[in-house]
Amino acid sequence: MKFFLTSMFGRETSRGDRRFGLDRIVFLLSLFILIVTVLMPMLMIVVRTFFKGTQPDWALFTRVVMAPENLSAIYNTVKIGFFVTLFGTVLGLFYAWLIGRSDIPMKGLMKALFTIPYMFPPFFGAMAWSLLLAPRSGYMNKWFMQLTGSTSPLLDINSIGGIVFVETCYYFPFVFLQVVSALERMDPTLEESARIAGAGQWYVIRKITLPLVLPAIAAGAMLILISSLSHFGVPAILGFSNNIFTLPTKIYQLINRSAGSFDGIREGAALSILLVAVVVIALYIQRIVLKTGHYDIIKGKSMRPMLIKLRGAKIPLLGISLLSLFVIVVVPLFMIFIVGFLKAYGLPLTLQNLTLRNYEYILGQSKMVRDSIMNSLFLSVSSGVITMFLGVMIAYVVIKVKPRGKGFLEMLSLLPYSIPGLVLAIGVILVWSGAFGINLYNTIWIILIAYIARYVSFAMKSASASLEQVHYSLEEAARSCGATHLESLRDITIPLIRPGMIAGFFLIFLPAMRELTTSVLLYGPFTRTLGVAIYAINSEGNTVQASALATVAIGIIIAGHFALRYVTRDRKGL
Amino acid sequence: MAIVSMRDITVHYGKNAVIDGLSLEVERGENLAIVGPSSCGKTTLMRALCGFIKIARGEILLNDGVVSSPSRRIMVAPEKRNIGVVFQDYAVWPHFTVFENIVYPMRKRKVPKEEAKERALAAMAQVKMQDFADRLPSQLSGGQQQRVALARALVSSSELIVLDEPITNLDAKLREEMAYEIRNLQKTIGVTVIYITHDQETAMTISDRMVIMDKKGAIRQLGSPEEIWNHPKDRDVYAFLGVSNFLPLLNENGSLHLVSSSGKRKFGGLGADIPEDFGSRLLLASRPTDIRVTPLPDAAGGVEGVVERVTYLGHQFDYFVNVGGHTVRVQEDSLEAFGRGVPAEGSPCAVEFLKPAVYEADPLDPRFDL
Amino acid sequence: MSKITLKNVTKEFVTRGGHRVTAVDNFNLEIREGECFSFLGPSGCGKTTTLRMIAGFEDLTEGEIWLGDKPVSVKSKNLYVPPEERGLGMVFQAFAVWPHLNVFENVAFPLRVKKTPRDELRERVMTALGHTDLQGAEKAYPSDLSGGQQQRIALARSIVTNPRVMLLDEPLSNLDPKLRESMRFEIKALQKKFNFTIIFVTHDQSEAMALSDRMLVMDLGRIIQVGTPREMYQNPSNKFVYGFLGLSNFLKVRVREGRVFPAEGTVQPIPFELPEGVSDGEGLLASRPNEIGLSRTEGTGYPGRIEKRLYMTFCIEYHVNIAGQVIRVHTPHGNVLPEGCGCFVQFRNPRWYAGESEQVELERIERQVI
Repeated sequence: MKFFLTSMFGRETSRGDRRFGLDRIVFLLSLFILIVTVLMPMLMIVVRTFFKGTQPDWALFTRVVMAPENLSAIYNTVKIGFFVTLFGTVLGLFYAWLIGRSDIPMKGLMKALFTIPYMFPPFFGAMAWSLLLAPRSGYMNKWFMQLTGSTSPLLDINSIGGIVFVETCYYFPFVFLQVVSALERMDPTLEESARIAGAGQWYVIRKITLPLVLPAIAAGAMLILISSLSHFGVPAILGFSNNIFTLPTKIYQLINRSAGSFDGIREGAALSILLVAVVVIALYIQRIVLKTGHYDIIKGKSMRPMLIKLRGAKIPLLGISLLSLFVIVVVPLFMIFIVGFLKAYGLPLTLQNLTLRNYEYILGQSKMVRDSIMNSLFLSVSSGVITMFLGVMIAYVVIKVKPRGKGFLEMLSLLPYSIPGLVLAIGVILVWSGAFGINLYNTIWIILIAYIARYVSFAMKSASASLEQVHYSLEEAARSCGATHLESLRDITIPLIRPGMIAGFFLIFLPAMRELTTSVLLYGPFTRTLGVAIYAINSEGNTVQASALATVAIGIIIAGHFALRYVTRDRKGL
Repeated sequence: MAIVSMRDITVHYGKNAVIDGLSLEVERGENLAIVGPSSCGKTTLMRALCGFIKIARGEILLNDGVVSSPSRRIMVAPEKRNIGVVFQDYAVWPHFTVFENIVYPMRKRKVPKEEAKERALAAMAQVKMQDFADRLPSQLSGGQQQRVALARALVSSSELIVLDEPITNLDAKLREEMAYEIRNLQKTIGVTVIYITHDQETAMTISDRMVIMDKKGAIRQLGSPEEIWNHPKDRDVYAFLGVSNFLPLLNENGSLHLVSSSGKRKFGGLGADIPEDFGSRLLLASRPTDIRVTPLPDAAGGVEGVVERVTYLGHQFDYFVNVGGHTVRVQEDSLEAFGRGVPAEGSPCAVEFLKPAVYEADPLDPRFDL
Repeated sequence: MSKITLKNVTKEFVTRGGHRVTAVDNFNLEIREGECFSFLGPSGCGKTTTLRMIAGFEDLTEGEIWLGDKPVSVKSKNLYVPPEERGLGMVFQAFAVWPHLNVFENVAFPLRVKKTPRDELRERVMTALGHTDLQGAEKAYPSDLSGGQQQRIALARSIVTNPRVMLLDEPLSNLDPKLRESMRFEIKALQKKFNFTIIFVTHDQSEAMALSDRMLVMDLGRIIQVGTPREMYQNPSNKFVYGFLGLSNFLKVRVREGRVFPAEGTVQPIPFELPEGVSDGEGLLASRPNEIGLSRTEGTGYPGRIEKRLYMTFCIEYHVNIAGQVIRVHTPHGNVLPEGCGCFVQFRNPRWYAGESEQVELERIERQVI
């Protein structure tokens, strides 16, 4: 290790100027944090799976992999992933085309609505839809049975189909946003020249537009696939009652059932390796797909593209899109909101059944809930701040200092991107529950460590983006004006990336505030997070209280988004 | 007394030597342009001078004090060199107003507040930006940002300013204005200006002396624009300075022959002396504006050619004339052309070279293979 | 028949701010069969909008467009032929070659749309590639090729269907100057070979003059002047056209009793014969820098003082002060006068124009933003 380090830092940057010790300290510090929070947990999962004590042990892994229930979990995971990706891509593509290339009205409103699923965790959707479509108690099923006299429900949300539906609702914006932005950046003359060449509108879409946005579609589809494969909340809420398991929910069940015993965690670790393997295969496929075409379609003078006139289809298409947006966005939020005011789940949705008691209970009487809100606030703010600074440090090293070993640092910081949160949580448990003499299990610190590892990729990407805007010459200009290296950082670089840092903070704060996947494995008696609290109350059957608490969470998230909007509204000069 | 001395400096980028053993003295108060094709190492030279990169060998002196010398382990930090720099991308800080940008160097150099303000206002007036003091750079045009960068350089050093390709990003008209301004400033303030560019036209316009660098990072010629234009040292410098025609000539015991597609043709009346040490293969070099084309029957002298293409550009005519299989470009002022008669495309004509230069040809010059 | 007729064509836009802007105002023009016609004007003058209306990418607010004897856009009858049915060739500024298709497939695209039989398709594509100097590159992808080659693909693609009308939307402005010139000749050569009608949109006057048989200058959505390049350059109908077609000086002058004086200062009249019908008042005396004689000999022109001398590649530029106003004079090398000395200026081809209100200039700037 020592040799490794000296060989990494032995040489100064090739850009020549001597930058005191500061750059080196920043490099070492960020490398240390990443090794501890990201690399060690991953290594520990491998070590614990394949070694018993110090002896190699393959038996556990083979047993876990061959277990029929695990095999069926793999099958479910892949199946759900496949269909969510398929439907999400089709849906996203359709809306992207409608907004990017047709003359449909109300584009601004629709674009705003499409970002809403981004803001809320999918497991809220799962809760909302099971309020409506749970086989016996769901409101919609009850209405259906009352109206038709049928004894079987209209739809059963507690099924593979239900899981696919809810995940699709939340993940299709990945494709939508990627494709819309590709369409907006695309030089309109690429399509116009095809028209001039004699091709009609549909021919142009098929032969020119679609192939050109293919990389964007592939990127979005892969995001959906990876998110779905490692997703925990929706299958947990909709699948458990019908014994439908996916790999993430199976891992959770294993660990939960073993009540923290070492063997249970080892089994979970073995399954995690399987999950990571599935994700890696997906990523590999993505790389092959993306390799086939990477073109620069951003050039030319920006002109408005020729919009396709929908003519007669305009009103029906507008109706369909607004209706589907209503179903995807408005209905679930409204259900959660309204049920939160209900005296008891199952009561008809009438005025006299409404009450504020649930809010009184969760915000006043339940210490557990109050603790969870405080925990989540503490965790989101502290992980937001720490991770954002860590991201800036890493980005600074990677972009500006460029020492030998920057590739390794960059790779480590981007690794958590492709590691499911549940897997990360297991790794963190393995490292921080006494294996190295420090036991943080059941404390809030272990969750904090996991959050840092989980969000460091976000922070690094967002910091890189703003740091790349700060060209060398801006710092050098300060040097030539008499500023020392440190002063040029303080006066020029930091102020210039400050808006990016604040935005980066919120990009961590917001998902951390509603995080479930990682914390559900790491929480202790006094360290529940908001997500865990909602999930727990919901699984205990206290649906109305869970809805009320979810409404509170929605409020906090919306407030956070407004704050984000406010700080990013005007990027001074950049 | 030289304000900058570079003595035998070598700069490496990775394993390649971008500059290898270059020496250059810059006189105090002069306006020196460093010109060369892109990636010839001129920006590297400026970065070495400013202290942004180390040199591998040699030494750099500023005001007779050594600032870079690897052998003596001296590397003065950029902030201590007192050089005003205008970067190619202006490098105007987007989060500072125009005034804050310009006052910054004085803040760093601990100039008293009142004095700093006064000098900043004066510098802004010099570049005609006094009405924009409170604007942010994003509210300024490219040309205006450049002025801010120039003003900032002016207050950060009263002795030496380095401008790195500062006007290539501007459109032609702004570029011209800026060039005048830089020259004006230099003359009124007396500051030394080093001006780095790949555009020989601007360099000639604004400099007292210019340095022509080649692709290998070596100095080819140093002199006043007039000297260099009238007496380019070799054919590369000649070609670099502007559109040029080269014709292959064979010198056979004092009689000249043009190598043409139809064999050798006698070539009389060169009007230039041929140095004795030149071999038999020569290149006649001439500028498009120094060639006269006359319709054949009226011709008094020159070589025969055929006018292949006539292009009217308003202020001038462009001709492509085929002289024995070589294409010669000719430009003629249109008032003169109308006076003398414009040749028709495809018509034979006589071509006279008014002020040709003669260079020794490269032994592998393909023009001799006709 | 491939003439193009525009009758009363008007296009209005509503900007984001809700303003109505007349981008093209009552445009009437007939472009003859087989001619190369340029639309010249500053950005925002409406030239590209007009071209896009001819191509069918923009709707008309009023008027009609005919290709040959076929109407393609007639507002009053709500007739609109989509671009793919107009049978035009078009080349765009940003090349618009499809990055996911190789060179062959790019060029073959128009033929594939028409379901051309395989052998014929192959033959026609190869012919088009041959005409544009792209043989051997058919398997390459556009991203492997230079800008000039990409523009050649676009050219090949547009000629492969042998259209009778070719629309060129600033096709050369993304290329470097050297390439720009050679592409200009290539376009001209292709036109000679295939004999199509060209409409060429550009903001570069030398390009327009070099290429076109006839041209027009647009300003603020209106046609200012139509004519051959030579007619236009020698006889600009107003100050704007004069200034747009080449370097220019506009000396502010005052007319008193049929004689022309500088606006301020001296009492000596400038020798100039006023056009008929000019009454006393203010105006502009327009001249081109290369059409002004400069000497130190008394009696050879109007007195002035040399303020500045700039050495340029093909001329020397003098800034000459005439009664408080500075004009630029270009003289050939050799005629060197020192800075600060008195001189005499002879306008060899001056023109008289009425002044232009500042409002017009503001409007031009505003339209560029839209």
